Amino acid sequence: MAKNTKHQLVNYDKYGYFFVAPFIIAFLVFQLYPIFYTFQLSFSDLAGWETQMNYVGLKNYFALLENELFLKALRNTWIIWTMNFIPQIGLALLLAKWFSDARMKLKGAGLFKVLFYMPNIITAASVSILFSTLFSYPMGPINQLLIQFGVLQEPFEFFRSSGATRSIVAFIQFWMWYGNTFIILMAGILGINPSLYEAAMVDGATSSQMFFGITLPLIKPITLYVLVTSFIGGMQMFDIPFLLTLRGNPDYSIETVTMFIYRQAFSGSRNYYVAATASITLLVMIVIVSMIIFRVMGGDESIKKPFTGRLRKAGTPK
Amino acid sequence: MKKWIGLLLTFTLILSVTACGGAKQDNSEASNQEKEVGVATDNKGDTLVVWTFTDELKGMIENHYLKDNPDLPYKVEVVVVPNDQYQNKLDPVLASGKSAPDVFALEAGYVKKYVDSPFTADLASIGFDRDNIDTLPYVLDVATDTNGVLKGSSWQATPGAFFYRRSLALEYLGTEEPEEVQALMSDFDKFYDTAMTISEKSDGKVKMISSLGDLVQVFYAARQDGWVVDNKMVVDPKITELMEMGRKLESNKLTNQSEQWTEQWFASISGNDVFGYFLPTWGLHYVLKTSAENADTGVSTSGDWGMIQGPSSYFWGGTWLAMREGSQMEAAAADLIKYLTLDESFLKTWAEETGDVLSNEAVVNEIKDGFTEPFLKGQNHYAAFADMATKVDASILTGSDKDIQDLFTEQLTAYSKGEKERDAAMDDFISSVKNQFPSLEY
Repeated sequence: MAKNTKHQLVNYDKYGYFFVAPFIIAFLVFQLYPIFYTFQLSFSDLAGWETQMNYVGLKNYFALLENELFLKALRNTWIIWTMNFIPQIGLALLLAKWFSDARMKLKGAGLFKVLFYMPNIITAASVSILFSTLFSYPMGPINQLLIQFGVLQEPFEFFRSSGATRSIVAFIQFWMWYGNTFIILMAGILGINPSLYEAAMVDGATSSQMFFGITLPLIKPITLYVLVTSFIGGMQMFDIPFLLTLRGNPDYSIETVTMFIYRQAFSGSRNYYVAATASITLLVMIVIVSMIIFRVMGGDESIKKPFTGRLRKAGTPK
Repeated sequence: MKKWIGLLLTFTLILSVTACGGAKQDNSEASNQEKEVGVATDNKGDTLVVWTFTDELKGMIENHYLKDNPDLPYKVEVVVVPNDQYQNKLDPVLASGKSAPDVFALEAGYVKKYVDSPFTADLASIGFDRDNIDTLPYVLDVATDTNGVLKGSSWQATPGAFFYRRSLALEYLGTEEPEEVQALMSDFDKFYDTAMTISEKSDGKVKMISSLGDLVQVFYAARQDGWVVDNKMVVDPKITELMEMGRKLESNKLTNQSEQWTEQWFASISGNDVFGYFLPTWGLHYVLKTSAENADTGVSTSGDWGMIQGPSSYFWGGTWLAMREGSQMEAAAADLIKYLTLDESFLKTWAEETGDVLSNEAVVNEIKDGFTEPFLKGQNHYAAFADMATKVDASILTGSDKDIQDLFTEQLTAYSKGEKERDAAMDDFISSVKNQFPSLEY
């Protein structure tokens, strides 16, 4: 009898597998396999029309770390990302503070969110063309403007100066992404319980005291998220520098790691093994640095929990 | 019951997969047999896919081939890929054979790479007999692989010339006649002196050339050795000459500081700030004529141009057509390539319409004396080019030319503008080539 009932129970568990199957299959074929294949390639000597790979051990990694152009690309990537991230997070924080400040009560927050986010909607190709035209030499608008106002005596060739070109790329990245960062930080700030600010105001705290004492500590997890995602995105920077000047010119000063990988894999003698080695190196670097960031910044995740708990007990309205 | 359906499904699936495999084998056997016979007779697909790096070929196919052959039983699809991306896009599809073109255009900067690869078909198999066609030997030599197999064909020959503005010549050099202008720039020293004269007399307003890049092909063509000889990278002495010339011109502000193929570069064709352009045969109809009209004022510089050889004879570019080995559209591909490169009536129409110089000597000899080009104020550019074409030696072309020259451009610019010294520029050039071609010797 017991046996019979067991038989009649219909087990629906297995259908779960059917539902996740499409994702698992797509993931295995289009993500996991390529990652393993890249690992495999980085230990081989596959290039050009060749289809047979020979394994060469760690040789590619040693060669890559001695490759001046790769090291330069790595340096460029770091420099450009840093130049773009510091002003980006700074401005985004400032704007987020202003727009969430209960005392300032700025109007049109919704409109400004859209406006700040706008540059991100334009495609990278259009942005690059826009900027290369703006800064073009000798008759570009910026040059004409600067001469008109007497800042420059004669036109300056922006795209022949490493510093200027890097700054332009960093500025474009900053300009395209500060709106995005702003919105994320804003969401973080709006998630903070307003009664904290009310309590602080009752106690006579100034606006900046509230910002540094309440806002900053409470949006730390969000800031950490912004930092890590921006870091990962920044290390994979490709479209803007690739399209702005030819081949990372001048003097390979805006050639990023992904551009290096692309050029190794698809031009010249198409050195897949170099491209794969560089990809893996980049991956390892991103993982290590991200872990360091988490370790350093994300140590005290516990602040947030007691707070919400206590607030709920007090029965404050959300 | 359910089990049965499942089994049935699995079975049909397996069957269909194996059936496909079988069919594929049959196909390749069939095409092998055809090759033994010598001429392909069948098309297995319904679309002939053509890849090209300029829209020129697209126009030739749409305005001529399809009009002359209105009843083709298949579609012809022309895909234009920008030259900078062309190899990047072509290489993977050729290697995998999936959605690869049946016919593809190849430029001088990389034609050798594909000719020496297993992906281009022997044109003898579709009826090309190099001893019985009137195509210039140099054009065929470029498309012949190391084993002497002909793998590409072209309709054009591309000797180069210097095109100058007659009105500017008259104003600053006192003459507009081609012979006299030629005498003023018969070598590079004179070329430089003339550039100085023009600059001084015009208060620096008129530059000799628009971009430094205009010069490079002249020097490349004058080299003794190509970039790669026996798998070894070679930097010919002409390259150093080019760098010195570049620095002399740039430091005296004798170029317009633009980059080739940019808006500013094209704008000078209709403006009055550049004396002339180094351009080959195709440059006349494809570059100069199409940009002669000023977009703002509507004034055209047509009729104000003269053509001379310039300081040195050279050749520049060219488009070769190749057929993919293993194409399913062999007959269609063969028909298209033959039409575009061998069909005398088409070639004649094309030449008369555009002034493009043909590689077919028979047609060239027939038409060359009848040309008066109004764009060049009645000059017969055709006879001059036809004469130059027979002297072209393109044996220094290598498959890596485009990639290497792209890398060189940056260092040439850096040295010319005085950002780097010559040794540093040269070292950076070599290391960038090494980076792209680690398997070469240096």
